[in-house]
Amino acid sequence: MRTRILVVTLLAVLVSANAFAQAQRTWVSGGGDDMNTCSYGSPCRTFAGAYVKTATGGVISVQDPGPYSGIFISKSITIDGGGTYASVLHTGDGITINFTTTDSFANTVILRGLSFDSPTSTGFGVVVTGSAPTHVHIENSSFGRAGAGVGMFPGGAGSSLKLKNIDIRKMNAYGVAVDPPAGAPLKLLLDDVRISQTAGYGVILFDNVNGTIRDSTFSNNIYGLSIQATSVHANVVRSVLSENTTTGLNHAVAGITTLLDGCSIFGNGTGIANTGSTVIGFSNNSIGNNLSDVTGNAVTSILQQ
Amino acid sequence: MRVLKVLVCLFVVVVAVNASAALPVRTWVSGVGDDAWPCSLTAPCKSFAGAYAKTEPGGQISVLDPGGYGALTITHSITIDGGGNFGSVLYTGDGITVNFTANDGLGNNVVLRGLSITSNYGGGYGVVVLGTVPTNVHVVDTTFVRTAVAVGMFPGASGSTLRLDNIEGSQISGTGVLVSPPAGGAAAKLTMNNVRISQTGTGAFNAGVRIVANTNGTIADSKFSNGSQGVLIESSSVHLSLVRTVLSENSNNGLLHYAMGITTLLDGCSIFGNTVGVSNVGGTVYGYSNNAIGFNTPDVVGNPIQSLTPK
Repeated sequence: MRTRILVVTLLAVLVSANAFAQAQRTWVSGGGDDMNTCSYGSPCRTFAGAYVKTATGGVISVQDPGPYSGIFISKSITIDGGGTYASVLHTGDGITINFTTTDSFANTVILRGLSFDSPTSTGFGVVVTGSAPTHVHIENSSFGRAGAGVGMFPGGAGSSLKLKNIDIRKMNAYGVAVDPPAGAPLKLLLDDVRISQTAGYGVILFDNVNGTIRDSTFSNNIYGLSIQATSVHANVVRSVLSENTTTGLNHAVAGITTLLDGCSIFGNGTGIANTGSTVIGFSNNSIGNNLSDVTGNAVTSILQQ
Repeated sequence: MRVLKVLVCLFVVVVAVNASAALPVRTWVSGVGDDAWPCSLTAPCKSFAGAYAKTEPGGQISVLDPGGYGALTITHSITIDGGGNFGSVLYTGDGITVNFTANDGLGNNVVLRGLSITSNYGGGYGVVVLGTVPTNVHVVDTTFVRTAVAVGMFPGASGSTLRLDNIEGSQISGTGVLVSPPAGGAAAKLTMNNVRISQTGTGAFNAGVRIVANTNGTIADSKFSNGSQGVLIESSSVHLSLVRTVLSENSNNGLLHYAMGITTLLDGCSIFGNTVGVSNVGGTVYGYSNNAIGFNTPDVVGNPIQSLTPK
């Protein structure tokens, strides 16, 4: 009897250990087996097999091309068949760029084809700090579940940030936050950047930025794009600001000037918040279906040439 | 003793040569690598940090296969390059079913990326969202072939969201994207970018996109062609904006308002070659004087488009 109790206890421990053995990250492979642990070296064979061994909010990655069958989902999960996409699972900050001197390549960092995810929804995916001018290019990458996607806080004036084909979702504070020091303005280019579900700002530009945002979509955030100072000069081209709960384009203080070229601003609480500031349009922007299309100064329409 | 001295000298020289040898400009990481290795193609490292230390400043770290490569602090110029290929779902029944019946504490978020979803038998949903609590689904870089419906959004709770980015659907026997949230409560939010759906079914309720009720959404840079209806809206509780989107070669309507009192915005759209371009009986379509509507017979049925002045 005692033996049986011991066995039952052991079994219960084993079962509960198994129940808590779910990983934040699992893998499937065409050569895998659902009896495996779905670890990198011991992948599973199907999405359904990996799903039960993946923690809520975790990621199933695909190692190689192959059919992985259907799946029934009832917890937060990411299935990433982006193949050889490299991933960074972070709880603090993912990639920290911190130049304190200037190297012979002008402090240029290129990050391409990466997938960032924070199981604790904290930290920056990529954060730029340091004391020297820094040039960062991020391309073809996705950011999910963190405090913020990209934080650009270089300590050196004359830095630059370029984002191309970037997908950002479910950030607690910022999709992209830019706050350079005084001196030569930071140069910003956002090209095909999609940001949604941010419980704060899709893009926030704090100070001293000259930049162009084109072919991008900031939807279903609290604020789509917010500009915090008159030292920010932004041009927004063919971009969509939609379904943001509070404001599509927000001028946080008076005296800011922003150019809009071919943009669509639909379905926000306020389309453009522009008290004491200037928005110049080229007679090609569509603004509608917001609870309030424009507050403050009206959009100044000038003709295309 | 002399021999020993010679050996020691040789050793020092060898160490010095190693220390001054240039690091490789190109290194590799792999999930089965080891940071003790040289990070070459055949002996890759295991972490970005391990490879970073063995890569010449200004060089490149390439990724051989999917894996967690850890956090990294960068203080010299570097390129980190990953690539991509597809995982596929070949299904009978429905492909991926999302069915939350309780909140999971993480916001009920499902992300599906880089998949190729194909029905074995030409039926079922590629992705279907059901459940009883608010659910947020994001599908990106994914193709659908031979399904009855590519994406069906039927969350049982209001306030759900659906975002589709870079989606290709073809040979769909029914509807490309079907959105039908609960009629009451917070509207579902729909964001679609660069979604191309063609070859949908021929029935009157088959469409590239069919939205049944209670949805606020924006569809941009998309194309719904060669089906029955391009975009079908069935309730005045749907507020949809279409931006730079093409509705063409549909056998019934490019845009169909299938109820009275619906308002839709068109911004820079092209509506060509459908039987009816815009069917707007009892509804309102606002255009921003930048939509091209032609080659339909007729171009507009019902109320004419109200042209607004862009700013």
